Parts: sequence; C-alpha cells; structure tokens
Amino acid sequence: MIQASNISHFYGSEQVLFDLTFEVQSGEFLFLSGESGSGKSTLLSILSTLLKPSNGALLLDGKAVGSMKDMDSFRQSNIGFVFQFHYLINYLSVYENIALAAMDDKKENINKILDELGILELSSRYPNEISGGQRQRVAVARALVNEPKIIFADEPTGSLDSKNSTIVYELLQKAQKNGTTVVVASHDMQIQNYATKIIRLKDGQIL
Amino acid sequence: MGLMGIASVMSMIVNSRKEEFGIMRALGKSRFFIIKNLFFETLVMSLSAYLFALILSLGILAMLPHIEMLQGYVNGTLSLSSALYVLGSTLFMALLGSLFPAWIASKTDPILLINQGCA
Repeated sequence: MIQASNISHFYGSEQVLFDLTFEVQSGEFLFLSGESGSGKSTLLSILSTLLKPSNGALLLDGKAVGSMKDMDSFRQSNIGFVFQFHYLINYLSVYENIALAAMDDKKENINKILDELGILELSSRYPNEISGGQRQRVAVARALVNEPKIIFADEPTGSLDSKNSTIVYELLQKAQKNGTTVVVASHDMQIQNYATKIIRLKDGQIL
Repeated sequence: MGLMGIASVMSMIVNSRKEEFGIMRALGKSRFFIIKNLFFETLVMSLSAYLFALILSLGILAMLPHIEMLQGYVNGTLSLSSALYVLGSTLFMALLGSLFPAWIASKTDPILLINQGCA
C-alpha cells in the first residue's frame, strides 16, 4: 500500500508538486496521467524512493520512507523499476544486467523470467545487440526478478511501437494480477485499459 | 602536475559514470557496494598503469647508455625509493580522484544521478 500525504516538491525555487495526498491499495494498477511538465515523473520518482520530496510524508507498506535506515535494501527487496530508456548497463550481458538487480535468493528466477518474457535466447547478448522492444522486455524482467511488492514504470513504452507497447502493458498487468502493485506514469492513454485507478495531474496538482 | 593529471582523469571517469551509479542505486545497490567496486577498479587500473610505466621507464633507462648522440645530455637512474614514492603517490591521487566524486555521488538521490548522467 502506498500512502502519500501532502507531498510537495521544488526544483530550486520552482514548485512542481503541490500538497498531493492519496492512497493506492496493494494490488492496484495506478495510472499517473498528465501532460509533459505536469509533475508525474517527479511524483513517480518520489513514490519510488528515488527522490526525496521537499515536504510531505510517504508510507510504503506501512513504513515511513523518510525514517528508513537501510533504504537501499528496502528498495531492492520491495520495488521494481521500468524506465523509459530501459537504462541497462551496456558492458553487462542481458543475464548480468538482471543478476545485478537480483537478490542472492532470487537469482534462480532469472532464466524462468527470461523464458516467460520470450527472451531467454538473448541472455548472453549485450544491450546494444538487441532491439529497443527486447531491451524494454529485459528492463521488465529486471524489475520482476525480486518479485517486488510494487513496480514503478516511467513512460515504459515511450520509445516503443504499439506492438511492443502492448507486450509491456500486458507484462505489467500480469504482474498486477499476481498481486504486485503497479504504478505507471505516462501520457499514453492506452494504459487506461489496464489501470484500476487513475490519477490525473495538471501543473503539479491532482485534478 | 602528473599527479594532478591522474586525479583529474580519474575524477572525469567517475563523473562520466553517474548514470550507471544512479541505475545501481535505483536497483537497490548500496553506497558501500558502489564505492567498494570503484576502489578495486581504481586499484587495478592504477597498478596496471604504474607497472606499464615502470617497465617502459626501465627499458628506456637501459637503452640510454647505448645511444651515442644522447651521451652527456640525457642520463638517469631510478632508485627503489623513487619508484615506491611514485607508486604511493599515484595510488593516493588515483583513489582520491575517483573516490571523492563517488562519495559525493553516493549522497545524491538516484534519479538525479540518472538525469545528470543523461545530460
């Protein structure tokens, strides 16, 4: 469960988020929608613990994010990420990229997930040797490997064609149906078909 | 000047890898994991560079007495203490140049590192 209370954020003197308060129940598929500059990526970064908010409180699974001592360990075991530009590490193979994210007791999941996503045969290739759609599937595999409680995706299909976009959405939906909370920030309205909850942002405020 | 150059190059290498450190932090890797890996990488790179430079220097010093046109102009020796001093100062400056920016980066929010790396 995600509980955000009075979240505000400033970049320098410019305020980009204004006192946002909302809750997301476990197992929901939240779609954060809004135009470019509406603040959805900043909000996603805050919800996913990648950015500290200027003001406000965030509880993930009942734990206050600001007071956690081992944030890195919490992030690794509870949170998965899918970024717009996949952000795979170029000098690591597909398998090694996923292994980098995997906790020791989850490394046995890697081949199973690669197989489920139809990219097992790519495991020894490097990111620059596979297509954009395949890279994004690797990024999804990396997000799923630790069986996280929450997956955050920021414009996960921004660089993909419609066929590959549908594949990524269906993978995220499958994770959600298995009990994972999924939060996607995007301007692609196709996600509405998969979302169970929608938050629309405009100029840093919830509409 | 040479030592400053080593620190400066190592610092540039680390700064160019901010995106990678941001990705690792986003995946839950600790600050200690990143700094530890960088420490060993820097150690291997510096020692390799030092050994290459030492062998090259010893080779050139061995050749000097046999080059007639340089006699009386260029000569030199390399003592053990000089070699150890260069080794120590090289390692110190390389580690300073890489670990200081890595320590600063480790205190930055992961998403800012990723965005800085893309800039």
